[in-house]
Order: sequence, then C-alpha cells, then structure tokens
Amino acid sequence: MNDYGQAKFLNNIRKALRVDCKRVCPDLFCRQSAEESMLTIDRISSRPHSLRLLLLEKMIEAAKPLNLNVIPVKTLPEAAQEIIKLASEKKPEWGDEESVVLWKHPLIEEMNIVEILRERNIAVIFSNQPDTGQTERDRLVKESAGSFIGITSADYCIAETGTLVLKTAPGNERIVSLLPSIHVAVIKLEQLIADFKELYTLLDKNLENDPEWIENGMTFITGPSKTADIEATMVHGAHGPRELYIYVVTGTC
Amino acid sequence: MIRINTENYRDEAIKGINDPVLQKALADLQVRFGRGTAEAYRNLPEGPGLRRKAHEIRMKAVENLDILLERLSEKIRARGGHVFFAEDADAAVKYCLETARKHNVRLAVKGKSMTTEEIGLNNAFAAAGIEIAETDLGEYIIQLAGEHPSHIIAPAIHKTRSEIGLLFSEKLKIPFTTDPETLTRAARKALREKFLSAGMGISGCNIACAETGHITVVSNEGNIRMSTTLPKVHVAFMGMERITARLSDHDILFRLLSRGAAVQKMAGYVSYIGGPRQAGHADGPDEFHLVIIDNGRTKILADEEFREMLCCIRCGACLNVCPVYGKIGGHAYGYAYSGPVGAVVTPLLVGINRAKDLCLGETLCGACKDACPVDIDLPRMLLLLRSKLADGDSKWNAGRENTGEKMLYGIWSEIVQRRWAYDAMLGLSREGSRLFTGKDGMISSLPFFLQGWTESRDMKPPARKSFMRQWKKLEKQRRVK
Repeated sequence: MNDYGQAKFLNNIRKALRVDCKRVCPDLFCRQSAEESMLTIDRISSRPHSLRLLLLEKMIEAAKPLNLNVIPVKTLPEAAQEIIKLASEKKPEWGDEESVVLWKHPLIEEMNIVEILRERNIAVIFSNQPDTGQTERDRLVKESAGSFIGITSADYCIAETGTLVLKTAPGNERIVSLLPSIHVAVIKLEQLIADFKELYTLLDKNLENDPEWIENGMTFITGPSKTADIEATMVHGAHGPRELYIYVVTGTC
Repeated sequence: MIRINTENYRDEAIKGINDPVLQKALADLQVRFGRGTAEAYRNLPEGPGLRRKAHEIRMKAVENLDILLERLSEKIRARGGHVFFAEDADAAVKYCLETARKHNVRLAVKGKSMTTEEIGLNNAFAAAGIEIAETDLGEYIIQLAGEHPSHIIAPAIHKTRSEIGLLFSEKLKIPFTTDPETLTRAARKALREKFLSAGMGISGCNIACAETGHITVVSNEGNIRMSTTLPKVHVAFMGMERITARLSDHDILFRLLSRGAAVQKMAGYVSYIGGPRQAGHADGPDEFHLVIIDNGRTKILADEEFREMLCCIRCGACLNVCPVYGKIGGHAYGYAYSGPVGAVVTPLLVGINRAKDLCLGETLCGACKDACPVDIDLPRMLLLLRSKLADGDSKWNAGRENTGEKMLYGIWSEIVQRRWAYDAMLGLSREGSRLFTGKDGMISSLPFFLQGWTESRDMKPPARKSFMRQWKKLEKQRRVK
C-alpha cells in the first residue's frame, strides 16, 4: 500500500529521537484541567451586561490603531440601518454594479436587510445555495469578487485585539469576508469575550463535545487587510477587504 | 535548482555595507521592530517569561514529532486531504509538479513561504513552464525585479519607493508614481486577476495542530487566504517541525509569533485549514495536499545539542535586532534563511564548512536570544558551530577549517602551563613588538598570520616592564621604607 512515504519518514524521526514507536505519552494531548476550564466558561457565561459593555469599550480602543471600526448598536434593525447608510456612502471598487454578498445566518436574517437593499437597487447574493455544482460555485466566486460589501456574523469576537473568529460552514463561506472591498460583521454583545485564553478554552469545550467542531476551516480576522511592504508605509487593502466594520448589538436594556 | 550562495558571504556583505539605500532601510527596520518587539514582550500580561513557556511547548512537540505528524496526517486524510512525506527537496518539488501536471495547471498563486524558497520550488516550476505568481506584495515586487527576498517577513525592504514605482510602470504599464497606496492598489488589481484564474494555490504552514489535524497560515495582506480558498487545488508545504500537540498551545504561540514578527498583538489573518472543501460548502479547494518536508531536519533532530533549533517558528524577530544583519542585510546569507536564524540553520542544512562564514560572521552579543519569541539560545549554537569548525566533527561531516590555528593553540597550551616558558615568550614579544612600533608609538602592521590583529586597528605595544616585575619592585621599595 502506498503510504506516501509516511512509514519510512516517521521511522527516521524515531531513529533520530532514539525512541520506540510503541511508547506512550499520556499527557501529550491532555487539555487544561477540567476544573480550570469550567471556571473560565462559567465566568464567560455569567459575565454581567455591564462587564460586557466594558469589554466592548476595550475593543473600541484596541480597534483604533488597526483602522478597524467597532460600532455599538442597540438592535438588529438599527444595525441594518447603519449598513444601508454605509452602502449608500460607498462606491463599488470594481465596475459600477452595486452588489452585496451575505452569509446565510440567523442573525443576518433577523436583520431583514435583504428587502431594504433590493428596494435600493442593490443586488443581493447569498453565499450558499443548497447542492450547488461547480459552475454555480464559480459564478458565486466571481460575483463575490465584484461585490463591494460582504456581510457576515462571527462565532466569537475577542475584545483585547478586536479579532473576529469565523468558522467555515455551509452558508458561512470564507469568500464573503475576503473578496468584497468592505467587510461588515454583525455580532451580539454576548459573543464578545476577553482574550485568546478564553477563546481557546471555549474551543476546547466545543472539541470535547464534537472533535470535528472546526471541520475543515476557521479564520481569525484582526482588522482590514494591510501591508507595509513598500518602505514600511502602512497601506490598507492589500488583497483582502480595505475596510472592516463590526456592529455589536448591545440590546435595549 | 536550489540557490545556495553561502560562499559569497564576504563579497555580498561588503556590497550590503556599501549600499546606502539598504543601510537606511535596515536602520529604520531595526529601530521600529527591534525596539517594539522588546516592549511588546514586556507588555505581555504574563511578562517576557512567557517565552520560556513557549519554548517548553515547542520542545515537547519536537520530542514527540512522530506521534504528532501521525495524528495530523490521519486527521487530514480522514477529511479527504492528501499527505505526502518528502525526505528531501527533490521529492517535495516532484510531488507538487506532478500534482500541477495532473490538473493541467498553467498558473499557480503562492503565499509567502520560506520552505518553498528552501526547496527551490519557483525555479522548478519555471523550468516546467508553469507560472508561479508570488502574491505577498513584497515577494511580488522581488519577483518582478528578478531578485531574491532579503528578510523573512519584509522581503523587499532593500527597495525604495521610486525603484518600485519604476518597476511597476515598466511591468504593470501604470503611470510612474512613488505613492505606496497607488502602487499597492496596482498590485492588488494585477494579482486579483491571478487569484481568480489560478489553477493551484501554494502556501507554507506556520504551526500545525496535531490534535485537531489542521495547518495554520498567517498573513496581514489576505493573500494567503486568497491562495488557499480560490484555486481548485491547494498544496501546502511544511517543515516537519512546524507542529504543536494541542489546539490551546496556539494561544501562547500565536500571541508571541505576532509580537516577534511585526510587533502586533495578533496578526491580521490566521486561518486553520484541515482539508478540501466539504460537501455542502460553496468555497475552498476541491483538493488539498500537505507536503511534510525533512530535507536535513532529522539530522538536526538527532543531535541533542542542535535539536533546540527545531523550535524556531521563522518569525524573523532575531533579524530585527541583530547588529550583523543590520549592517550586511539578508542577501549575504546566501540562502532562504538570513540573520541569526540563518547563521545557525543554514550551516546545519547545507554543510557547516560550506556555510562557515555565516556563523563566523555573527558577534555572539546575545540580542537574538532576547528577541526570540520561543527563547532559542542561538548564541550557544553559533559557538558550537564554531567549535565544529575548529575541531572538526565526523557526525556532521565537518572538517577542521584551520589546522594552523589548532597547532598554535596546542603550543600555547604547552607554554601557559610553564611559568618560565610563559615569561620567556612575553619577553620575546616585548622585544619583538618594538620592531613593528611606528613613530607614533603604535603598532599598525604585523607580519604573517598576526596581521589579522592590525588589519583594521592600531595596537599599543606591550609595556617595557611587565606588571609582575613592576609590582615586585614596588613591593621591595615599600618594605625598605
């Protein structure tokens, strides 16, 4: 059987390490103690509204030097209004056609933004149609590349760094946060967590329930695309989105 | 096919020192990143000691590489991905070329990867008539200019904006400009077309995760996300050591990597990739190939004194503080890896004698160790390489560089063990040095093998009377009083 060089390769490594392939390393994949992890998860889930708002303030600070726009809104319809306003202010980067590509996501559906966009003659593209074939997928990529705004949600958002965590899933495609000139993310305040330690504790918990939770992809996005390759001068929008807006729905209480 | 020019270290270093553009660029880079990184470590909630913890995580991974790689490949294959283990550069290049031919690829887009520089992938593809487009802006500039990168993360720092403006006006047919924003936009447009039409995407791998079976790629521009999302086939290359056991290890490693590489709290984009497009997904490649490369690494792994080098995550932090790199630039190092990391890893990969100047050229000041996000003791290994050059080492196929030196130290050791011989030698050199002392009272040129001492500075001749003799005389006078 062709093992693509694996057996010999790993054997060379074992020889170099002077170890036996039957050795056991019980703690190699051991996660942090269940107790510590539970404490962290409890802390996150029982974090009061006021503390979450503090996290949001922290994120707004962290976002400034990144050229990242973090905008608190009270409700989802308010977020929709803000996005419509943004769309009316911005011009498409490629061509004249105005189109917006969207994730299929409960939060975005609840926003009811599709109708408003269509009323304003802005084309709406959904990132996933069920059982799409190759030609459909090619078309989707092409259309997304021509969109000036891509709207996603996120799984988590990290206050310390302003990082969005997006898991790839049917309907939650990667290209929506990548190809359009402007990336817009809508999240709820409850999705905001303090730092990467909290994130990885939550991810560990998800993996415990489902070892394939990450499936084939997950992306962390911190600010818009940027480069400093010409005389170390910062320019935004190298290949990915030139601008990034995160709308955080804080609730009315 | 693989570009190794380590023998030209001296000439290239002199060229670098005499290049005013490079000198300014390097000075700016080191002020910005060098100092910023040190401060970023101090500002970590856990303090700079976190680097020690990262070292432990990396070392544990290196010591269990076989288990981790087995788990990684098992997981990726279970999702329909292909994993190929390449013992050397040729095998890795051949596999990638065959995959490209199978899919009739005419154009491949590539995210920045030093491993593909190491194995000479671009040249092999060019020879096969398949275009590889570099997509990191810095790499793209270098490729258009027909040059090689001079820094691990800032490959085009040796080029000015007007040079780039000229290059773009010639190659991309745009009006000449020196505005970085306009230039970036021109590259964005040119490369957008390539991303959307390429048949293959090529990337490296920062730190894979064995537990979940994912590689990770990190960038700020988004070019690696494009290369790994849009083309039908994605081929990722990883040095076999670039892996960690648990997902949560990435917490510390990515925070440190981002600080070391570009003084960021977190890099712009971090992507986990665990296989090809899954059923029901509308994007991602149809085929995913991971090529795991040895290419001399097991030899480093087998030597416990050098094993630590495999902890390296190629962030480039050591380049930004190194006084030698800061003067000579990256091209002098003659291979994919420059700066202190290159000075250790290149001799180990291409031959200690062949790349001897790289480790002899460093100063052992220790700045690289302080800047390393995973706390690798580079100065220790630089010294160790020098000892291999002085004594030879059959295990590394290293020959003694200078037999005269060894002989001289043998004689020296005999002399210093005998008081009379030592005094006689001192007396002789005191008298002898007078022959070479000029009118200004300084020695400005010594003959034969001693000339190295006076090549770049004048020396004071030894005092007429030795300290011991003066001391004895003074002591006698004091007692008489």
